[in-house]
Amino acid sequence: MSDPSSTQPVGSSSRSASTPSSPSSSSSSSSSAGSQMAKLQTEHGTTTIADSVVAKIAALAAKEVEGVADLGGGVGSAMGSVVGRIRGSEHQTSGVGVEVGATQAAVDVTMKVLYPASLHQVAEAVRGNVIDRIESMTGLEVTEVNVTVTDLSFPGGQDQGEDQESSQPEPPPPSRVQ
Amino acid sequence: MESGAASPIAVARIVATAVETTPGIVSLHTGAVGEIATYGGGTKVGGVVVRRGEQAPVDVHVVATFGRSLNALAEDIRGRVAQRLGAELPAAAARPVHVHVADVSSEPSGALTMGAP
Repeated sequence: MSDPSSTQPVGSSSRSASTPSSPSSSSSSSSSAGSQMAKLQTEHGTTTIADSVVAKIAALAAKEVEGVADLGGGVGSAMGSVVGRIRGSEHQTSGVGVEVGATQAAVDVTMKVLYPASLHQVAEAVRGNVIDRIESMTGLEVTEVNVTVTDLSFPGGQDQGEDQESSQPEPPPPSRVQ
Repeated sequence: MESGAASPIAVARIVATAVETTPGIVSLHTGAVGEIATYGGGTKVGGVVVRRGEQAPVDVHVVATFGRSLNALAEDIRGRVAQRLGAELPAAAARPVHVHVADVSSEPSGALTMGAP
């Protein structure tokens, strides 16, 4: 990757090949498009879709993908700029940043992936599903989905108790040294 | 209820019923503290803003289910509102309806089905 901004380890590629060169596409943009809502004028009234709705659609679409353990992560790191970019957002949209214009949207997703899934496969699936959901639900064209994998989640960890009694205390991890 | 010109609250009640029965609507959205409403007659109808004036636009604020096209949903809402108003308050049926999608339901639609085109 020739992208100088190294905060996106996985798949920071822009969606359309014809997109003009965007050296650091996920950093705060100087365009004024961020404040307008998606608006569709019809014969009998307008339809307005709040930016937070676009963010939530992205979050739910990402969570639909197998292998996505959670959104967000990287507390205290550079992700802080992405998390909470939606003002007043609930935790459901933490880990998702969106920039919504009149007809287009750009999305940043930060997420934890279930070990040992292929990170590129999961990222690609997230990208595809986010694009599909946003475009089909809002009619906005998604110009890019930048996916950042912040952490791995291990199924053997806290979530182990699915097939055993939840009241049972967890056995201590086996000692690695004698 | 005044006869002749329909009062905003009367229009709002009909609009609210029409919106709430539209498939794909979770609920009307009344704002952060319930401020989005039409007031009148000592009551209020949340999520619907009807202004005075026979042809004044009506604003409806909604929470939608996840998955469906929101623009198609908005068109459904307009159709149902026009139909209900046409049946009950014909004078108000020509009002434009502005649909504001404020939120989508957080319930995921379940696992994606395999092999869907």
